[in-house]
Amino acid sequence: MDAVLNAAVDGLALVFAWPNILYPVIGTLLAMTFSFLPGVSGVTLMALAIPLTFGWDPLPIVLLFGAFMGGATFMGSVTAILFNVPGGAPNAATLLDGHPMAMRGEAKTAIACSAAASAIGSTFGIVILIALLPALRDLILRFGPPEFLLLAVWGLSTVVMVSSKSWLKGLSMAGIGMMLAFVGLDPRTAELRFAFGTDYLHDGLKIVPVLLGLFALAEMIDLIASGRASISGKRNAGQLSGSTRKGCLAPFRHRGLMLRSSVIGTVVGAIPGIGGTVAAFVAYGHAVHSSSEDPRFGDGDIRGVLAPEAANDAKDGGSLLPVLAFGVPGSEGTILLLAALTLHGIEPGRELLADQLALVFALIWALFLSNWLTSVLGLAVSGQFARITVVRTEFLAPVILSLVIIAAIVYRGQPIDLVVTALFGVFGYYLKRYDWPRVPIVIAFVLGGLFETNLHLTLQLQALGRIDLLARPIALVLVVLTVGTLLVPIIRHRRRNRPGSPR
Amino acid sequence: MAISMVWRRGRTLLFMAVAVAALAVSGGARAAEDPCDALAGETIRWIVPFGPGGYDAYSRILAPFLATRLDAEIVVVNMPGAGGVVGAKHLHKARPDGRTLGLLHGSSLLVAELFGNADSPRLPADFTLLGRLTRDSDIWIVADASRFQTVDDLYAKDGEGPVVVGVSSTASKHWLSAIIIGDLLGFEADLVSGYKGAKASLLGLLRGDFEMMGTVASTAIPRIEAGEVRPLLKIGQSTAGRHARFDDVPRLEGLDGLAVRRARALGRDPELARSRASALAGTIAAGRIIAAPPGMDPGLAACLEGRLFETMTDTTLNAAMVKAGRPLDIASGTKAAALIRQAKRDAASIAPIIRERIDKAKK
Repeated sequence: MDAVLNAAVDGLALVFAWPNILYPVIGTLLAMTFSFLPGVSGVTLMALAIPLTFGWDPLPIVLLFGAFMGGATFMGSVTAILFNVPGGAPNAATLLDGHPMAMRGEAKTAIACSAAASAIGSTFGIVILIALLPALRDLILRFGPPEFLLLAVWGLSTVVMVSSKSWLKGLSMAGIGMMLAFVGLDPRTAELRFAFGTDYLHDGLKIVPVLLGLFALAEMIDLIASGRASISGKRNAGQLSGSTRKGCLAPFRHRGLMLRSSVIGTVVGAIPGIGGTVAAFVAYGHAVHSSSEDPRFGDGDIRGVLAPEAANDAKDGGSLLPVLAFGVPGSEGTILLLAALTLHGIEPGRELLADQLALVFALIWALFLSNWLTSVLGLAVSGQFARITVVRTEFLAPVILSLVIIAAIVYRGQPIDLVVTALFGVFGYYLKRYDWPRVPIVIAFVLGGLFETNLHLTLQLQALGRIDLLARPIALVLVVLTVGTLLVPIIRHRRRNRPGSPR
Repeated sequence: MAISMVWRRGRTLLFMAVAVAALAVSGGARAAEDPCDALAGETIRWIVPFGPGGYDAYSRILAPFLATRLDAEIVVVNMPGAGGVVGAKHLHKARPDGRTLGLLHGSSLLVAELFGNADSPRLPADFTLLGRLTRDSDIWIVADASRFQTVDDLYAKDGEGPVVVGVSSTASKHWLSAIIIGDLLGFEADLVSGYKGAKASLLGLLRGDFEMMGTVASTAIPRIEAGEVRPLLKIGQSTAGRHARFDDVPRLEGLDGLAVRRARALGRDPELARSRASALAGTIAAGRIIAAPPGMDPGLAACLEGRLFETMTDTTLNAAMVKAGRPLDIASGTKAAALIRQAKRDAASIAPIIRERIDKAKK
């Protein structure tokens, strides 16, 4: 333990030494800027930075990329709140209640809550990461295909939570999302499915054009078609009713939910290949089914912002666990972090943890610093962000549409991504117009591949006698959680509709 | 007298001027005959058929060195998709004017051809091969606590059921290897497919999902040094994958390789075993091939091949590659093409085994 503490102090000294401190600060600012643009995320920034940082020493690399990871998550939630456009799939949970708050003129409250929850959640995740460093390997090896499968199922079960108005619609949309996830190569046999003879669909549909279309483009079409003067329907900032103070205090007012959501984010983030989407939606689902006082989830309940944001940022610390222990990525951001590390000769694993622990802590502190810097800066400009909701539609829509077009083309340099964005944009608009939920499509699309891959692996391993599902306690706990997630809303609905019960 | 001297000296000067001019013109003409000069000042697109990772790293380290030798600008362009096929197809269709080059995943193209994928370009016919940057050796590993202490244990375990092997997918390089190794060494293998990438497979091995897996040497080495896994056998002779821990590990191919010795022990045809092992090794070790579109002017191709070889033997480049953990195992384009053709000839001996297993997997 002494070695860990000494390395933590050494790592902190490395981060704050001049000019090292410039790297996390500049990295954070770049990540915030990139993540605010629709369809462009911290992951895009990391991909661009890898070739540009060739030949750098290891320390600046870990400081910069740690900051990229930390700076990206929060800004994706700002676009979710303001424009109903998630910065990435994990931010889709935030828009469920964040955007309704913005439409009510409470964008400032939602953004402030997101900033505070992000900072506290990320701190929790990092503290757990440090505490678990000695036990990393054994912890990660307890999760195998059955656990991954059940985590995907648990994440999919939150479709019920986000489809409170109509489960049937939600499940239908989730079905569409799953079908979209199956386009491309079969994970077992490598046979092509639904590619229609094109190279474009060989590796399946990509989340960025789908998100850009379903949300960014659809929202702008809807905003124009609705004739609304602005996103909030208000004409000047004085009519906005949000409160930074109220938003900042929300994590303390709901500290139990804050803590539980952080735990969910850290644990789920630590599981390789799962990512923030499961963490955010599972936390949201937990917030819904654990609420007892006047829930307005889906209509602008601040807890619906707090829970996914806490989980989404707590997962950053958790997702470093498999990266550091085995060099296995825990999220999309850590895939590129790993690429950057190995490219610069930094090989994750036991040797890194044993011989370069100070460098590991430099990465952790850069992530921590970046999370807090992002939240503080986000709080400072939350008022300015909120003003975007009163910008007139005739000015705002062309700007957003231009950014969407640029993002779709720049994403992979394939113009056909723009066609896909347009198609999903029209689809998303009509879904919104006829009150069909879009978020279940995203949940199922993101989790569909994880579900299918681990279903096949679990069945194969079970058939070969390599696993015994009944002897895996984590899997059994996940089954219970999933059943609970599915049953609780049904039970509540029946209780509310029981004759004589209060409405 | 003075006038004649001036005339003689003037004539001499005139002759000298004409001679100098003639030399200048002929020297310029000789310089223009160097085909690579046509690329001076031009921008060359270097196609990498994958995202950030090994191929991208090799390309970005190499690019400035080659750019200096060609006096051109080299822009690395990532074109990921379909396991490298998207980038390969783009390179295949480009104009063969030297302004589009690329780094191909040789073994994946050969494996695609073996599995009858009509959509994938063919090596070497569909490209102009300019060189090989490096090649892989495959190491087959087990967990340190495995019941298999040596490769002999794989086929000395009568009645204990098949060996469970983890692979990424059916029709992948390691799926092919697992089938051929099992056939050559005479043990039955049950394959578990669906692991996404070498690292995910490695975790599966450590968890105990399966008993054995194949991976490239560079992925195996850190885990071997950490004492988590143990190498059982190796395939391929890449110098890039050489490591002291592999010195005592038996090799599959070769005249005295594991395949031949096992064939003799089982009373099978050793020459057929040698050929099959060689086909597998040649396929795996096809390497990272630097190529241009087909139909390139032979002079330009020869010039590029030469400049590339000079670049790859540059000691500063080699030092940079080693520092980045990307050692080289180079070959000229001509030699790389010859090795690939040999591997394809040998592959005829393994085609029946592959067809049988694919049909079985589809049922």
